Amino acid sequence: MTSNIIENNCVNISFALLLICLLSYWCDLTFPKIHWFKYTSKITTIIINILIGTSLGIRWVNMQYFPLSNLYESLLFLTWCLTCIQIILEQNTNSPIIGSLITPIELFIVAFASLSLPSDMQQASPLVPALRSNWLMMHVTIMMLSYSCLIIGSLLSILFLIIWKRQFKTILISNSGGLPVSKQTLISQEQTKFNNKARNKLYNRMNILESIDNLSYRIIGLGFPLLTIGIISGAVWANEAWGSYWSWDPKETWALITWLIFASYLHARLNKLWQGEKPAILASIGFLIVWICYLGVNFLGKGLHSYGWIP
Amino acid sequence: MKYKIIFWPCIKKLGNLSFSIFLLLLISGISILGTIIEQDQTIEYYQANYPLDTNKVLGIDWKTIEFFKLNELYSNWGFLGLLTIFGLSLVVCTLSTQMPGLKNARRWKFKKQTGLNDILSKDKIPNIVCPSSLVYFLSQSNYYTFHQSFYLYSYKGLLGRLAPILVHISLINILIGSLISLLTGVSFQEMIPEGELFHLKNIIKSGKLSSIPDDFIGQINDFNIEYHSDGSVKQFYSNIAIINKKFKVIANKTISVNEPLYFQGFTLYQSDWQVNGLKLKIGRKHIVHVPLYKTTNNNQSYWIASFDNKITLLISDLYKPILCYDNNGSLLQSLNLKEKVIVNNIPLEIIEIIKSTGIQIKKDQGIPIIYSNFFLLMLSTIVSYNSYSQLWLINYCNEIKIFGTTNRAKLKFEHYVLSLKNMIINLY
Repeated sequence: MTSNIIENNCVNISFALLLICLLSYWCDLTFPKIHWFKYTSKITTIIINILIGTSLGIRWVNMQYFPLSNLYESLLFLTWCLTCIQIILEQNTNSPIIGSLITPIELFIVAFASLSLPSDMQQASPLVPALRSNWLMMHVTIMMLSYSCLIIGSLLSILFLIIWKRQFKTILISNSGGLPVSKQTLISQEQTKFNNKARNKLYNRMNILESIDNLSYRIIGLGFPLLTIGIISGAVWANEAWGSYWSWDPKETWALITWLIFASYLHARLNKLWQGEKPAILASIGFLIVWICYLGVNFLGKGLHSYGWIP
Repeated sequence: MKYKIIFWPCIKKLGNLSFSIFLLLLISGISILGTIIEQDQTIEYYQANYPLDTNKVLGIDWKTIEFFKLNELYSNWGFLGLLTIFGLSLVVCTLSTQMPGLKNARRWKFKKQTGLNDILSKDKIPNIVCPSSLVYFLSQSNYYTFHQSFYLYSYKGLLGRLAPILVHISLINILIGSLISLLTGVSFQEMIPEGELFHLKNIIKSGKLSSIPDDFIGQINDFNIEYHSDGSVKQFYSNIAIINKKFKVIANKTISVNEPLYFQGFTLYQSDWQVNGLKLKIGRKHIVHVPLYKTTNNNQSYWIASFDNKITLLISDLYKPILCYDNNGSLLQSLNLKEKVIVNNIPLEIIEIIKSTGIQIKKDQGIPIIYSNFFLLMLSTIVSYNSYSQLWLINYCNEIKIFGTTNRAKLKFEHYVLSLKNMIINLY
């Protein structure tokens, strides 16, 4: 069995597992008392993460460079980043909401990478001279991590807006909670340290909207510094390779646009008059902007970052 | 006085948070427009793609593009003016809001009343604790504590107040560094044959305040291309020597893509390459230079040379044999360098492939400012997520009231207040 077959099988199995994972997350949301769904989805996510990591690892060993040189590899790495963040968030929040939001995106990415991309684009090829640098790993990994965080944070903001529009403004996570979400939902496990009286006080205070908004802010808050570091490392690398740290290349420009949108989101959070809906709208726009920046620009077939493929 | 009435509200507006958000979104919008409308194309291109008819793309025609300079959007005065306003907004916000905020954050503030709107956490604990114990507990969590009779005030996370100032300062300095680059930067692009000396002549970009040195002499000692097993280019290498007026080598390095040569403020980059021609020996003494013409097929580059109207030579790789064809396109022979052969009754020897290396030379005095502020921006962006928290403890009617506020991580802060309360209760 060659390494190529193992690599392809890893991706194909992860695609099948993502389908199972998605169903189990949705079932967990619908039937919160059946704990079997929760464990299934958690374990499946971990297995998916390991499988995609293995696939990328095999490429790394075979090609002797970190596999981020083409669209297929970067899509797989993005999925790996998303599953990593998903596992960490689930560990902290103990909520099926995050998984049921992120898994469809992961499924779409893996399906697109495996089924839509031509087979020659899925093949690993030697690096062109411009990419033969240690900056490749530094710049691209940080950018992909930031995209992952921003995608998840923006998704939570979209969810916030949906609930806001339906006017679930006063639903509390309490013993008599109005939504089919367990008592532990969206509250950090750290709270188990406190006595019951104090815990109930916190549960009653935290409503679904507030917790989603807070989580969204925290994840975008993690993604934004990563995006900053990613853009800066890209600028330094461009100066090392081409003699220009900024050339208004479409991908560069869209990365800057993404940075500006999320900078305005973070500033909007500071404004007392802009609380709630308005920052969430900005973050939701950010979701679209991230995807245009990541995929849209490549399909134009222009610029220094283009993968040169029009679907 | 009149100017003051107009001037100060405008300055205040620049530091306004809503205006800053609007400015960020406006820069984003214009940047998006710059990626939709192709930049730096000829007027004919815009006339063909943005005609003056009813079916306008985005409602924009070539005359609009020309009038508003949308074909050079990122370098026109409108966009540069917008970036200047952005810079001024950062300066005003830093001086009028953030600096006073930092100054204020360092002051102690004893609250005597409990009816506060900004209270995030409020809790009562029995008044059985001496203040020194509380001060100790708080200092364990890195709180700076002030004590006055019945009142206790603590704060922590002053870095969280300092970091946004540093973020703004670094952004301002990056803009200043970019301006210095724009004014003093100079770039040259030279295509130099192997073994030749070169001077800085072919300017591709120069700032208004840039100076062009006339004593810069370099030499290309060697140029090589490394290939992958599939024939694709792995790396380009140029051995460059910098020579002084006495023709003494003062710097030497083999540069490649991602590995430039730094010398006295100049940076020399490997940028391009080309095959110029072939040096052939026909017969015993007759040496000729035959030009090569580049052609591309299936993303693979080929160089073709023909001489005597009978023989065509084809090169696909600098290190592979050169293929020799006749007029009918039939392969006659494959030749190696320095190999003596007879083709069509002509004694032939390919002495060398004459190739040139493309070197980009750049001098940019803004780079040190930009790089140092890139580092500061990264550092301060991360540090700015440090939360600034305040705690008040008031001895009130035989009870100690704890209440506080924070600018970030509100849930975590609530946990801390609860844990503080629990620790005190458990201890006493």
